[in-house]
Amino acid sequence: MIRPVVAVWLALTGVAAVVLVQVSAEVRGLEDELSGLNAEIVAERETIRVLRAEWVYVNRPEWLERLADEVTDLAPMRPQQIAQSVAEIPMPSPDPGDGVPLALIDVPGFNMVPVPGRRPAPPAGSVRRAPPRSAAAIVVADAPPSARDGGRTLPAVGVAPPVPTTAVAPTPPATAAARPITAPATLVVPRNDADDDPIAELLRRLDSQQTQEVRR
Amino acid sequence: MSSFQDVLPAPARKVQFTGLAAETLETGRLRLFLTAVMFALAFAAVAARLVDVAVLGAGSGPSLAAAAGSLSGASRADITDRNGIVLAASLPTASLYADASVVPDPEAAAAQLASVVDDIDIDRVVERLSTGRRFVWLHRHLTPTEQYRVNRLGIPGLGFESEERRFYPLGALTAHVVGFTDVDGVGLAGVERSFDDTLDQGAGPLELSLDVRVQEIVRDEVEAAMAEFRAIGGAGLVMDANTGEVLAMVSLPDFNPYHPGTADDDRRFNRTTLGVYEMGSTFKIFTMAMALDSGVTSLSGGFDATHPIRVGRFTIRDFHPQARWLTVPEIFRYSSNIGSVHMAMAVGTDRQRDYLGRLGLLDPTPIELPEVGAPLVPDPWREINTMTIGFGHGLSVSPMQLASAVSASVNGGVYVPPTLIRRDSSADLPGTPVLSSTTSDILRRLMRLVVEEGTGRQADAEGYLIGGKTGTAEKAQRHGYSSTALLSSFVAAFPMNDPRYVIFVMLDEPRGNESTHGYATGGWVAAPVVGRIVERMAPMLGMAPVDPEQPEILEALDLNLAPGANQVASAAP
Repeated sequence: MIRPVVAVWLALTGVAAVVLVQVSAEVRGLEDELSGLNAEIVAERETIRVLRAEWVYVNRPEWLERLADEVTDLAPMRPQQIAQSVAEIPMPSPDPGDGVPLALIDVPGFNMVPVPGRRPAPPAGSVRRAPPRSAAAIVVADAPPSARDGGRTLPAVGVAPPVPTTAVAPTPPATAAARPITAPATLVVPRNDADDDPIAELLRRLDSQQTQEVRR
Repeated sequence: MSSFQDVLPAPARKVQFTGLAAETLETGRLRLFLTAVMFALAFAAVAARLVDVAVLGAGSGPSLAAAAGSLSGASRADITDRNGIVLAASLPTASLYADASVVPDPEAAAAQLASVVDDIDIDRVVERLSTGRRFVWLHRHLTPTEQYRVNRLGIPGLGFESEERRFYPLGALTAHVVGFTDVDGVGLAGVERSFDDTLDQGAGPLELSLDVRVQEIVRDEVEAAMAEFRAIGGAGLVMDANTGEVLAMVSLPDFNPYHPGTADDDRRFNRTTLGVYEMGSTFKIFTMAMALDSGVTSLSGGFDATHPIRVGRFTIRDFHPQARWLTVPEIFRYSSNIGSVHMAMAVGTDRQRDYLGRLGLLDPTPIELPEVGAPLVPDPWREINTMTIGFGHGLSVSPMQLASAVSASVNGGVYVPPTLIRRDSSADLPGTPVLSSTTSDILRRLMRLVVEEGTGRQADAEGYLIGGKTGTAEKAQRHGYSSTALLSSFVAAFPMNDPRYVIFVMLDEPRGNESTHGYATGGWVAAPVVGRIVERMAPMLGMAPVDPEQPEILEALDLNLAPGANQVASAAP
């Protein structure tokens, strides 16, 4: 005959034993998982180390220099090519003399940058297409020939950037109202036209100066 | 468990036993009691162990978890430059072996292997695979790509063994600094050797003070100059003038760190630290420094350089003879040997030795490399030594020593020991004042003068205010000095109004060509190299060129010559 106290003790022992077995099994599982993860970490770190070393190898200066010589026109920078601030870069004069006034806008970090005060006049010699009256299909059909004109075909937003900035420009363009801000679908912009894209023109001039410099 | 009282039936009433019965009962009780005690002890032990394991014991779990943080996977730490670019790394490689008894067709297998593994020896592979042995090495240290390709071939009987190998991704570029290890990863030269123990304990990467971009520029330019002037060797050094950190250290010709054994001694010879040379006129910086600092002369002073000095069988002449009284700035500008000798004599032997010792020129440089050459110091130090050391002969020092001493001369007069290990910018710099800041200021102006209108004009780089001193030493040979075997050097600092970097370039036995009108002196062959190095490295280090006409710069570099100094020069007898 088992007395109640003994029965309680036996039950507790049994429960403890079961719990112990379960916990230890769980711990063993977790430990396995952990060492598996650790092994993975080691493998990953080793991979990272190999990749880092390989990255340094493929970026070794002499190799980059050879590639730069072969593939690009880049040459080592000279002290004369360094400007302390954008203010040192010669900007096109505010009035280029062709009747298109320039506005100055304050670009954060770039001081005052001149932009055309209004949309430039269509370049001489190029044919501006009349704005499509009805179907958009005409525009699409018209677009390819204009691209063959030797000029650049810009999407409407490509031409637009200087214009929307008139919101902050000190002098609102007088003719803005005459021409809708929503530009025609296509616009032929010859490469050598300086008036409508002063920044690109500036870069082009710097580019040609630089090549002259290098040739010298 | 139940206690002793529960098991034993409680006696209903007191029964008195006597005689044998009582004794037997007593024995039985005692046995029962002893057994119970032993069980109790055993259970107590089990309980104690349970508590120990469950409550107090840490088990292996936490240590296993903690280990995860420090799993680097490498047995030896990396070496990186100051920007974290890996210069040396121990990487796992796979070595290919085979069970030759399983490989079906040795010839076909060898041909396939040769198509995916570079520089594998086909004949040897065939021979080994034909032996039929259970284990043969086929190729050690495959690259990961090669291992992948070999795996893809799917040849039965091949296997990989993991090994580790030291890699130098930049190859020869930093060979003299980083050094190399043997196959077991024991450092044999360079930083690999001097930090061998640290690297093996390997907590984190060892960060050097080098900047590989500057290193490449210096190596490129020195190599080009060596080719142009057909020099037999060259050295280049860029040091931070204020912290003593070495940004670039080039010794040419150099070697491939993967095959140091095949390089000859000349290639493995580190000209920047192990080589000691009579530096020539660059030493006039120190003669000038000690003369000004000790007060034996001043900027407005001067010495008679009319006649060559005859000492015993030697005659000390000027390379650019002016044959007149020279002011102190003129002595520096024309690099007058005669003037420098007079100046050294005025300083005196003891003070000269004292100053040179404080500038670190009489002891081996404290750089962290095993390859350090001891300077050749004259003993005894006679008057003739004082005279020749005044213009840089008779005392041989390493370029590293010279660069540190020049740093001390221009940085305000503090000697900072040079180092190859990146310094913590917040920590205090070790340094000993050796010159007054006024002396240092005058030296800066004098060195700028040399580049503006003296012997070092070719070193000028627009906007970077380089100042320096040329040096052309005749190499000592068996029968005295040779006038054809020169050691041409240029030591410079920039920007001279607040020097940040000291640059030293040396060419060993350069030969003049048409572009230098046949000259192979420091001003013709080494100075332009310094100018080109500065032009390329300064923008990279974020230094913008300045306008040399700015008032504050003119003020910082103007030489306050005493009024009438030039008249004195022309009127002197």
